[in-house]
Amino acid sequence: MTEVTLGSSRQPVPLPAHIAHFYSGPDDLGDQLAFARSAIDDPKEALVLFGPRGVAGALLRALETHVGRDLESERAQGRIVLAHGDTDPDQQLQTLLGAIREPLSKGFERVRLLASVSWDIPDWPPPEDLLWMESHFTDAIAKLPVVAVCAYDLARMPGDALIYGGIETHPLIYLGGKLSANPQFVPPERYIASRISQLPWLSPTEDSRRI
Amino acid sequence: MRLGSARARGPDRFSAYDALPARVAILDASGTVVWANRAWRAFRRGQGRDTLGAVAVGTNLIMFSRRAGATVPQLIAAGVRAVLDRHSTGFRLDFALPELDGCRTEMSVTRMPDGAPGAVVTLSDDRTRSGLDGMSPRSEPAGVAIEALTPRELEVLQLMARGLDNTAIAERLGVGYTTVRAHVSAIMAKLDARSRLAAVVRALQRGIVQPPTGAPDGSERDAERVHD
Repeated sequence: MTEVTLGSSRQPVPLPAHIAHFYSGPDDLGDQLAFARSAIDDPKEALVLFGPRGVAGALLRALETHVGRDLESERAQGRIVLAHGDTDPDQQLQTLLGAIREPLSKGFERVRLLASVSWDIPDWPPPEDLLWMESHFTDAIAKLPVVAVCAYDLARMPGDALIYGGIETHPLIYLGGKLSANPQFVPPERYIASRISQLPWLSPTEDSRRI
Repeated sequence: MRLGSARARGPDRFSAYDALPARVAILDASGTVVWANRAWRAFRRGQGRDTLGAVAVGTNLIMFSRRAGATVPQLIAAGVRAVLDRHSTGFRLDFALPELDGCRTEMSVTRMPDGAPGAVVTLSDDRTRSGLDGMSPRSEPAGVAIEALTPRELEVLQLMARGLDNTAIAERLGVGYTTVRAHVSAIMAKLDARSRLAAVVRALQRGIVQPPTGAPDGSERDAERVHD
């Protein structure tokens, strides 16, 4: 079984892996940058940076600052791929899978995906569709050599995003430099078939059930 | 029901909760239960221990776990029950508590009034839920008639309800990916849904499609329990 380490954590991660990473604001990107840098340091690995439009570029600039040089040559080689989200969750899923397969088709053995997750913003899937996509993603990468880290900002994202997105759709949690199996993970078939239709904001009784 | 008047101080502030059959507790920023209504107090006496086991309340997060003294990662590993960030007004979770012999329980969490750190937690189960004000479900408006959807759209909608993505639906129906995308867009428009999943939920609520009974791919994989 192929394993990688996350970066700042030396814990081995079996591939493929779909991980929720919780961090606290723009000053807390250390784990994400260490994760991404590991791909730069290993010639067998490639890196996909993903997020709402413009965010992947910002992540790349932060990574360049982190490593102390520009990474244009890696981009030109196809070792670093930038991609952005879409309102249509199915299109977003296809974009992500395409961005992962691109460096694999060029001979890289493994891909690290760093996805900056957002919530209820333009040009991004509506919340419930994002959850649909997150849940599908676990199965979609089942045969790909990828470790995907979905970064959820504790300081900015609403509780619904953290519970239903970060916690329930990821088999693994990375928090405080520690990787843990996630007992709250809801398997895709269960999530899609039943859980997602019970999301509180989709319930007709939502308003009346508030205290 | 709303919280007691923000001007009121002391126990009277939450007196409106006292007679409710649902269990209501007020937690301060440290997670300590500073006030509980009669139902909560009676329940705790009967159980002899904290209903929630461990509670961590911060400026940004409120977490519930049954493992006392746990760090945040441990709380998540042990089973985070709820998260309330500083921008949220509240949320609900539905889960089973072993203290209630596995009975399905609804937990509502609402921020303290006046922006005070802490939270109001309400626990109710099927036996007490009817005691809460305003809990009767609203009826769903009639909305789109089933006739408004074409037979093909109904087929696509049924597969959407089973969780299939567009590629899988296209394979299942023997049509192109872009054709499925067009059907999905049309379905969302006819159901006046802003999202793919909202369309599915509306269709389920109106009985336009049947709830899925198995795994999306038709396999019989055992689904793990959502909570507990």
